[in-house]
Amino acid sequence: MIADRLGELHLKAEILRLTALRGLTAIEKYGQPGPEGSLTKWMWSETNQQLTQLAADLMGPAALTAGSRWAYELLRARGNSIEGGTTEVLKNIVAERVLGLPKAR
Amino acid sequence: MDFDLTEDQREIKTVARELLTARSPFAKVREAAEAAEYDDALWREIVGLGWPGIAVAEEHGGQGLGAVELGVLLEELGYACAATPFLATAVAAAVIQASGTEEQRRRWLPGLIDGELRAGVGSPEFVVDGHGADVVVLLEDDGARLLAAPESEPLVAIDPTRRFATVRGEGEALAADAADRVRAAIAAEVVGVCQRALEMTLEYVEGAQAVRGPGGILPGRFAPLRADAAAHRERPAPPPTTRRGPPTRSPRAWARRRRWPRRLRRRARVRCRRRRSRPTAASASPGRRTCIGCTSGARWTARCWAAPSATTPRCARAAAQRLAVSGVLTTRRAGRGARSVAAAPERQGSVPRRRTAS
Repeated sequence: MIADRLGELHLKAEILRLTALRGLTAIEKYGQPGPEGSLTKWMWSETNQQLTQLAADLMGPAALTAGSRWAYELLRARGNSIEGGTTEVLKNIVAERVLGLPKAR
Repeated sequence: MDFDLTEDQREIKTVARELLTARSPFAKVREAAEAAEYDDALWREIVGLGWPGIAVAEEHGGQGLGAVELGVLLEELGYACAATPFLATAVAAAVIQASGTEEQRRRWLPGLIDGELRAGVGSPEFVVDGHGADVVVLLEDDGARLLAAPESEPLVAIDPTRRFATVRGEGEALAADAADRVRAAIAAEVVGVCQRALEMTLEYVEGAQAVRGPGGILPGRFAPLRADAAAHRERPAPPPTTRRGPPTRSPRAWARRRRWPRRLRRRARVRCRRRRSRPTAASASPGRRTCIGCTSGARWTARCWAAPSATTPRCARAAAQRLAVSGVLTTRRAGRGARSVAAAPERQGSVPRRRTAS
């Protein structure tokens, strides 16, 4: 169970790393980042939330004691899907710019 | 660092896409899948082009390219869902080339590249093209093994475009990286399949959207299921009269309603005509609509279409009151209505009131 979750997170982190490198390649080659950047940020915020949740699950109540680093990380990660472009906004960007779907409104 | 495909790799991709689009449309794939056979003509062509040996060194009759090029081809074959034994054959060849011994290479590679030998790839209980294969690359927890003509039993699995089997046997161990090579190659094919599935879903959603009209599906919430649901929810639009046509209630009844739903207000048109008298039978009859904002529709019997909105706080009745002197207000939009309210008295003075709304 834990091993599965760890494995999945490792996978996601690796995908993020490679996607980011691809984004860098695009910048190097064409001088500007593509809209895929929004995909990375969206994935990252979700991954970070899962990661901190896993840490909290592993540590049990100890994760929630004052001064615990993971307590901070766990709560901080909740903001990841709101800051720097909320996940909803990013989904719209992905839908319209990456997938080329018609605008929502 | 460059993570993009090189010029040559892109070329391979384009050629593969064009060939497979022409030779293996879905009709063909379906035909092969229903017959539970591979598309032999396509396979012969692919072998003739040397694709199975793409990641095999030239000294063994291959193209001398690498795992990335193999991945590019697999992606395209996955994209086409082509019914060929390419996956097992090419992957087995690539693995033997990269992780096998020199003896294994000499023994298997030429036959695999020519399409004379058949290869299987997979885990013991699930081998692609395993039944009757001459050589099988078997993945296990601790690495990969190479089996020559192992014992096998056919297996029916969910993918009708290829054959599966369970395989038993000992075989020779392959180098440690063999398993990773196989997994990466299979992943490349799945990427192609997913890409196609995504594109088909997008086409479908756009079709559904065109039928349903903008806003039918919110792209941000896009998911295949949602699109499916939207398409199934498809039903004929209500007849326009029930939404924007003249109401069937009397002006009085309409006048009692202070506000219309925003949906109606938004497409408002102001068309007021003041009358001094109480409503006549004609003006009050169904089909005549009073000003929405009016509470005294009976008195004004204004034949209004629509009304107050965020931008025009005044209701048509108020406009009509301001126009009491001049008599006529005829505008299409509430915004412009407000202007013509001010302009009208000067321009029109006490000119006769009867003017048809345009």
